[in-house]
Amino acid sequence: MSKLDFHTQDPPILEAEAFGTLWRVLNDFGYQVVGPALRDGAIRLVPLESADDLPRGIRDLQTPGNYRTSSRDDGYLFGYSHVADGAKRWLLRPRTTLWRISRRDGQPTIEESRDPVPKVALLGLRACDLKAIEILDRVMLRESRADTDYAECREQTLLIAVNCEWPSSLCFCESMGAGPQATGGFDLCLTELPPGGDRFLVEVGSPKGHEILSRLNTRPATTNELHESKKVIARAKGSLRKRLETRGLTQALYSGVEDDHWERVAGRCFACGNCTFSCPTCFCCDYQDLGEIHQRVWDTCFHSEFSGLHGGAVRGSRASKYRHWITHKLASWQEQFQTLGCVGCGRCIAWCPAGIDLTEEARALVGVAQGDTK
Amino acid sequence: MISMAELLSQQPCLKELDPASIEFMAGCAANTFFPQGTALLREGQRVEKVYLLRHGRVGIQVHVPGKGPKILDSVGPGELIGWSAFGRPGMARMDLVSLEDVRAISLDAECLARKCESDPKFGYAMLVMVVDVLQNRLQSTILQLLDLYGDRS
Amino acid sequence: MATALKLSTHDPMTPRICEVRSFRRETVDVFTLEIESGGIDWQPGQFNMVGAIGSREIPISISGDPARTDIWTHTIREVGNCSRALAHLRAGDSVLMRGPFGVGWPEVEAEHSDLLVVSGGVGLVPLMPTLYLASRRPALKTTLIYGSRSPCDVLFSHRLAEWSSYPNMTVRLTVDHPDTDWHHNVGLVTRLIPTSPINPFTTIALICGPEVMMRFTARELLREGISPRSIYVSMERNMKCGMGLCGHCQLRGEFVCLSGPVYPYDRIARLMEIPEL
Repeated sequence: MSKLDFHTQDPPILEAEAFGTLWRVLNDFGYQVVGPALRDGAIRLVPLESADDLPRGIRDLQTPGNYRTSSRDDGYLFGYSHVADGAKRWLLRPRTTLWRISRRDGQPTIEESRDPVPKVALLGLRACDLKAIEILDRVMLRESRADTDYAECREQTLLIAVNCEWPSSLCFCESMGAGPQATGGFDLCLTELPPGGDRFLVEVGSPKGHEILSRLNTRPATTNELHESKKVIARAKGSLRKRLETRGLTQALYSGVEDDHWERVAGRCFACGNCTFSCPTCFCCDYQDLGEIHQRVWDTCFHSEFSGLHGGAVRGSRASKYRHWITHKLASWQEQFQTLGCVGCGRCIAWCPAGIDLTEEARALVGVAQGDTK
Repeated sequence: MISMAELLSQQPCLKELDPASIEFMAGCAANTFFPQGTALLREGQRVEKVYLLRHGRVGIQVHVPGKGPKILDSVGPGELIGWSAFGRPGMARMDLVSLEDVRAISLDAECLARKCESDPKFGYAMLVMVVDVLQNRLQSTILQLLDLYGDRS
Repeated sequence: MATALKLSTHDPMTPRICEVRSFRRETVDVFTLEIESGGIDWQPGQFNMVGAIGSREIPISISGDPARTDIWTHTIREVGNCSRALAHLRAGDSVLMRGPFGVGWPEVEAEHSDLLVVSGGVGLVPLMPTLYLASRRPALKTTLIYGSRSPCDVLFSHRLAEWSSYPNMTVRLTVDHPDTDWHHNVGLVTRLIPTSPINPFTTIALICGPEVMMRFTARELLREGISPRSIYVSMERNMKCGMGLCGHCQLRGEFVCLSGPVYPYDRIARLMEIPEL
């Protein structure tokens, strides 16, 4: 059997009991399982001891400026849209040491003493999360100037996706070509079949995934189960309400750069940076020297220091900061990385204290641009 | 020897002028020389000549009591000074002092003014020329106000 | 799913510890450090990330003679904590260096027989390497227009005086605030452009200074008929990583640390006109 034959076989079924053994198998491979759990009132990506830690029967409700969880009357383990904090913090760590200075015989030397890189299996990633990782890879792993810490974290991470069946009202992944179905970029991908929690269809995306799957007890899927798996994904697709028209967007954002609209957004924006921290692709980082320890930390373009020159900030007003952020996401990112910087997860809308909706802002700018040509 | 009209036509600020206007201006023009340190004009004096500088630089200065003369700007070869002759009441607003030996073409202000009044086309060409000069000087002055290289703590 | 990426042996984010060879005060708030370079290649207009130990690193252009391959020369203005920390360094001290980064000034090609350099304040610093090269090309007619705040802020005055005696080099100095001994021009650098002999077809113009000064200078050069493709400017932004990873120096789609700091004016002109971009 050649190495890549797993692509051509029908995906098998993993039942609840066998699913429970996933933890032991992953541990045998040296992975710590990191997956969704209810923490701090949100479904977050955290280390999990067993399948019992999964948010069984819990859903999320997302509206602009609002995130809540509530119970659902079924046994779905992955019955929510996506984790509140994406995979970013496990790959592009919020704070990590790059090097430190030590003294030998009074002479300073540099030690590349990085924080240990954990070997983790990220479980429960949605198609949008995978797309975000693909985008981050383009940003962080460019030839000859890769971010070493990201590269090492990435190298040590196994990606286990679970197809999205429950998009939130803020999801627009389909517009961004990111979901809801995971089509690649994973080691393993599960589809949770109704009524939830007891059967998973498993697709393999890599030799590593194949190796892990071969250690799990599976059975062939029935024709009906294959049909069901297609149905739940189609239903998810059909439930997406939000859209973002990306055609003409770059042009609209560029031509509308001096429009009054930005002032109107600025009237609502707090420049708090929540959108950038919750965004699964925002990559901007600062470097801090704490004594003789040099660290890379997350930064946000909404802080004035971000664009600071010695005379002051290049972007001082909230209007210019918001304009920079959304223009980067939906226009200039394309120039830089040949992809847009948005996966349509809607996190920036839910976590914005003012409920600013980037799809609506983008639409408004396109409207401005079309008004210009009339 | 090069004629006055040829000399005028070589001046950067007159390059848009037609030959007839240049020819006319030549009739109002004369070569002048100021040794270093000469006051071409003093604040409050009536301006009778407009100068096109050919060599050397002229400082535009204001006398500040207790601090002496302050040079605020300098004008060099190819530039025009004394344009307050065209304004009212035709008085110098600041001192003009030669910072080096200066060779210039002087243009008689009254001669030019009479021509401007009788020939609006020539007058308009003069206006555009003076606005160009003013624009450059004003822009430079405004930018100087920014203290671009400054903010020293 | 893992990625297959080979990492280079030296992480460009990790600085080298280099030795300061000399410290020299240039003006009341500008100083020059010469730092051993280990013979690393660089281009005029590029910058290094330079930091005193225990202090943040800052982007500093390389200002020395390209003929000196053993040292980095960095002329620095004291404007904040980091540059002040560097001002305390003396010969024998250690300094953290990463670089060089960025795209520098274009090489002056054979079709350009005239080089026009317009600089203001410490904007002269990144242009010095190019001027050193130009001073050794007798066939290249070079004009330097250099504006400073006051006569005591004029940098490298001995070097400039020497160059002004070269048959191929013209140095035109101007200040905003002259003193009584000042015998050069007064006013902004833009004032000197209309009266500088410029052949728009053979001139390549390099501009570095405050962004406002560069904008007005470039426009003045366009009025003289120079093609926007023959005008280059060096942009100042908040460079931190030097590799387009940290995002701080972005100017719309440009990572200034990577595709700049030097840009042909036609590529950057529109972006320079938009406030707070």
